[in-house]
Amino acid sequence: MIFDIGVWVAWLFTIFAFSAVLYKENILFKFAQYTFVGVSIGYTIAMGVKTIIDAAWTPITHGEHVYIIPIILGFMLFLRFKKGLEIYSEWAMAFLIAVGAALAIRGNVHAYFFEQITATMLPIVTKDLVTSFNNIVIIIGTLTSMLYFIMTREHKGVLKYPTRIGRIFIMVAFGAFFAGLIMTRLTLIYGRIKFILQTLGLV
Amino acid sequence: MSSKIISKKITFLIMLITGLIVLLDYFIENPELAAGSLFLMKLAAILVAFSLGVAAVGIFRLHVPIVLKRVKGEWYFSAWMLFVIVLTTLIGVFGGVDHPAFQWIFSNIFLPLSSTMFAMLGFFIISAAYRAFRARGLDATVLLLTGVLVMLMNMPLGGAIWSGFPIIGTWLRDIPAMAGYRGVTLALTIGLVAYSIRVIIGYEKPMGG
Amino acid sequence: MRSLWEGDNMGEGSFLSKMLTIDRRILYWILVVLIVIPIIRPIGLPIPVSETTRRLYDTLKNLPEGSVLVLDNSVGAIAWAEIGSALETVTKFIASKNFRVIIWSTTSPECGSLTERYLLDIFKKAGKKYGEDYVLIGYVPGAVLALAALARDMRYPRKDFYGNDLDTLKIFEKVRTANDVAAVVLAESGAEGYAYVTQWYAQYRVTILDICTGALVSERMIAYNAGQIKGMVAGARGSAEIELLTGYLGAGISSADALSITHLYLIILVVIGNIAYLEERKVRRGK
Repeated sequence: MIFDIGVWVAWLFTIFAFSAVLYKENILFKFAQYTFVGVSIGYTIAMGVKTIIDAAWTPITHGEHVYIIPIILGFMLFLRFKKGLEIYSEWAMAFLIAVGAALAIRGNVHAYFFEQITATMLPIVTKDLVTSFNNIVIIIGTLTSMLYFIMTREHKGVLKYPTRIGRIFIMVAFGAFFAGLIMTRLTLIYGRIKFILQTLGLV
Repeated sequence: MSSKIISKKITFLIMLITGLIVLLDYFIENPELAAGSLFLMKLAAILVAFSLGVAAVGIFRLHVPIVLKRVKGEWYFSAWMLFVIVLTTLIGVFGGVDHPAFQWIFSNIFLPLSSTMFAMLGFFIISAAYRAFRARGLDATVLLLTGVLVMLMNMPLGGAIWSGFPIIGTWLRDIPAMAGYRGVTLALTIGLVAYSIRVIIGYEKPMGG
Repeated sequence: MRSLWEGDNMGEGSFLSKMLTIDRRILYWILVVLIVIPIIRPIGLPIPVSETTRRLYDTLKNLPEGSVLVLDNSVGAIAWAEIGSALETVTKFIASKNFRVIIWSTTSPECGSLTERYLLDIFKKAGKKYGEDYVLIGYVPGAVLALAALARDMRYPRKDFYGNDLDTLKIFEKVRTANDVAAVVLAESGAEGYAYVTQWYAQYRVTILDICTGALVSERMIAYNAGQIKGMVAGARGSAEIELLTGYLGAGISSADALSITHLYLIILVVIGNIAYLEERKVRRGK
């Protein structure tokens, strides 16, 4: 059995949280829930303040006065809570959104468009039958699942069967995703139960 | 022209100029453009740090009235949460993020609660899979079968039951599922790039108005 | 002979309807018991190593001595139980080599605390010097924005997790941009892989090695198949595999038995649910 008050605090909070699922929602669970939200927010704010001090304030103290701009813009973000001044917070948001949009174009066109298309341009006749079959499946799967997202035309006539096939491939993708999600969630439960048992000295 | 319209035009100009600088930097090799683009990226990253505080202010605006109005059944939880936020923030900011008290809160409260809250979703998936995961048509059957076969691949017991399960599961994940995801990704990328261009040139108004 | 389903109807009181309307807490407690069993009595099933894990291991093994690596610890508290052990194992392997390691995360505020708790000791025990062989920068907010900035100027956070000026640290003497980095070892539970592929691989061709949760594997497969990600440890199963490959056994191996039993339980539940559904449909059509 572990004799560390911190570990027992963690153990109690784990039990409180699980009680909602394994028994029913109760005041202990709510207490744990609100504590979790509080600690998460406080933790994140502390990290954010550290970044602002390190990345913006420190350069200013070293003579790089241009970093006053992000500090001013950062405080302008809070103007969204002041009636009549919300529009000025949009100026700060505009920088964020524009940089994000530009980076999305830069990175995605190359990595998730051209390179993915290149990776789909595979030989359908190779020395190995299995490789040929796999390549054909990849080409058909990619093209048909992309076709499924054509929203400007109804999926009729020449589009009917390819989009149907594309939908099947998308279902296969979701099935594989679901299996991966299961693995993630069940392992998390395993981790917590192992912790409960270890703290009690049963393992 | 009203001040609101002028402000909107300034917002549009900021987005256009900022977006163009960062975008053109990718295509044109110019030291000033590169320096400007890098500064804008750093500026945006610092603004993200500020936006964490904006989210926190939103939480306070929601919960402080609950405490002040003494809403039955809620106000003491909200008060406790606000107290924890303030305490954790003060310790982290004034003591430093590597302070033992801050690390204690992380290790013994944040870490276990975070893990447990997400682990709870696993239980809900179990009951959802039992009650709702049905082979109702071709699509659902394909999804179900793929899920089961990939699960059999993920678990070592699957290979022990039959050596074919890992082979089939791996093939499903690496070939048809990957192809399906790639098609979805290509379609999403086209949409994302188109939307991003529209945002930069002002055709979309992500902030409304 | 009377049907197992108590007659021809699916009315209340029938075995099938009872099975479908069972209190979910019974299902949850069965799951808990099934997880406890292999913890107390491990089964020890063999775990074949997949190609993705082997390629991650081989790529790391073949990196030149003295390479600079970025270790992105974006696992977070939410996924530490699944891939934390894989990250620890890979860190032990990295620490046994002559690499210089920079640790950060652009999405997980917990990076600094988790790294301090679980990973820094590994470097200390391997005789590595802080500031020279490894440095913990911690959380750099901004996700894609921060990564894009870091690719051009890795010193822009200015200080490390402990407040030391990055310019004074020896590890940063010859490291400025992503061009100076040999590989990124990314441990993620969200969209970080996507960000690295678009911002670090697309422009700088940095080798990306991904330790991701099970939920992300399918999505990352497209990047792996296109050669953008060179190796991948996939979820809890991958954690067990990398432990076997490196020889540093830990929580990944020990979770493999529970993984098997719980997955089998879920498959059985899904099968039972679908048998009941098909019977119900048959009965309705019969009416």
